[in-house]
Amino acid sequence: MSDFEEFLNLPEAEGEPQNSGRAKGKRSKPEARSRADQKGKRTKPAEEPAWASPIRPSMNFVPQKERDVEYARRAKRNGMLLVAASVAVIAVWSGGLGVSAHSMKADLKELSAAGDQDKGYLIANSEATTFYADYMDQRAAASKKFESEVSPTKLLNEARGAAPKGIDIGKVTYDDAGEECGIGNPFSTTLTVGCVSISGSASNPGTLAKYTSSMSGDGSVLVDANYSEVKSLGKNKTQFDLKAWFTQEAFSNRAEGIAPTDEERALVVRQLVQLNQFQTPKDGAN
Amino acid sequence: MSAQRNGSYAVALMLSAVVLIGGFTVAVKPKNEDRAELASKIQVQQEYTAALGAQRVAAQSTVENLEQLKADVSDFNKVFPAATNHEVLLVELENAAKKAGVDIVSMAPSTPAPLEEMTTQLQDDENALAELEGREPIVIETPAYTTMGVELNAAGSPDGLKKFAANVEGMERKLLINSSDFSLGSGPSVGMRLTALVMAPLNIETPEKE
Repeated sequence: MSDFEEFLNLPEAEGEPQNSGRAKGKRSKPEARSRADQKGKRTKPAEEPAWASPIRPSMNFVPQKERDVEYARRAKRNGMLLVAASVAVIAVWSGGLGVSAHSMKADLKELSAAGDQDKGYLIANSEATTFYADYMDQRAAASKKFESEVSPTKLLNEARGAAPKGIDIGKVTYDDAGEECGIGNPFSTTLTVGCVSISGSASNPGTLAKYTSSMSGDGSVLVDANYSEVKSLGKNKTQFDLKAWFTQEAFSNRAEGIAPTDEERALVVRQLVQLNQFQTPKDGAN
Repeated sequence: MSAQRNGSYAVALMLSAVVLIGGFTVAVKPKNEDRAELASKIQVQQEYTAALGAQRVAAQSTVENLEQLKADVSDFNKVFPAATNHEVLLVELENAAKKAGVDIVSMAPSTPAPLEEMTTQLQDDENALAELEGREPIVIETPAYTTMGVELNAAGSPDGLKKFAANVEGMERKLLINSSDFSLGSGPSVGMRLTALVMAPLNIETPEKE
């Protein structure tokens, strides 16, 4: 045993060069031992395993050459550990992503299959959808024709209802292709949509002003009436012609029973667009 | 030897860096990109599948209620019948006059107008939707229709004439009232210009349930 090895208190292993020691990487496992054993380790070196003490001797006491060999070995080992750790990090990262991607592909496949099922159903029942769409289309088209239809009975009722005592209504005329009432009242905030002609006679000329003034205010069907002609026919009879604007209140509202709702129209349009896309597939989804 | 030792660490660090960078470039980055692409595809597919699902629910509702739909279409065809013969129309107006206690003095039906295509709200809706989604709008087939005009004069009491107008408004066959001219003085009468909308019939025999 060399002085150095004796210093280190290394055991002399059989068949092993005596100066190899820890420098060659052979190390015995420290074994549990009693305090008494630890105390006697210096006096009985042959019976003690290598590095019996948890306190290693400082490398400062190791000769330079041995020290360098040990440091080089440690550097190699640590370097290899570093590289191995890097490889492991990459492998775990990559593996994790691979598993995640695999799971996502399965999800996508499942979604795609569900979409295909719905698509198949829609194509198989496209005739029913088209039939429903045609019906909605006809309803929408017909309702459009009726949405600004004026009710003649409403106009008649309003013309007669607004007349005070002493006024007889002779004629109430409305024509959707007829003339308008002129500019009407430029300061009026009431929305008007058409014009009605009313003629009749009054027993007292004073009632004429009363008649037209009754055609105003919120909720009135007839507004902004103006006399176009007032002619006296004797002591108790004055003939008049007037034109009055009417509001949306005069509409018959017969379109309401025909028109599809906004939701029905939106759904039908979506279905038609979808069927059209099935017939002309494009890149993108699915 | 210290240099040799430091060199070993340097080599190890370089190797680690090469492994990390190379591994990231070769094994991680492409997979990460694939993953991001997959996530994007899943989102698109989810939206697409959800939309299809909603449409399937609507289509299922149509198919399951097909008999009711056929009945609705049949009722609609009564409101806007495809018949262009005047006789039926005139008989219906005569009945409305009879119920109101007035006499129809004259009726002048006009021959049906050439077929027209309606501009429907569905096409307007689709145009707006397509603009919103940045695509070309699809062309929605518009129903063909024709019109038939009738001018009539009826005489009777003022209240009878008013009732007659109400009866015309309430007829099962909806006639568009274009004009009305009530004369309530001596010899009360009413003149009306009406338009009958004649719609192309929808075939209610097909489709059958799939």
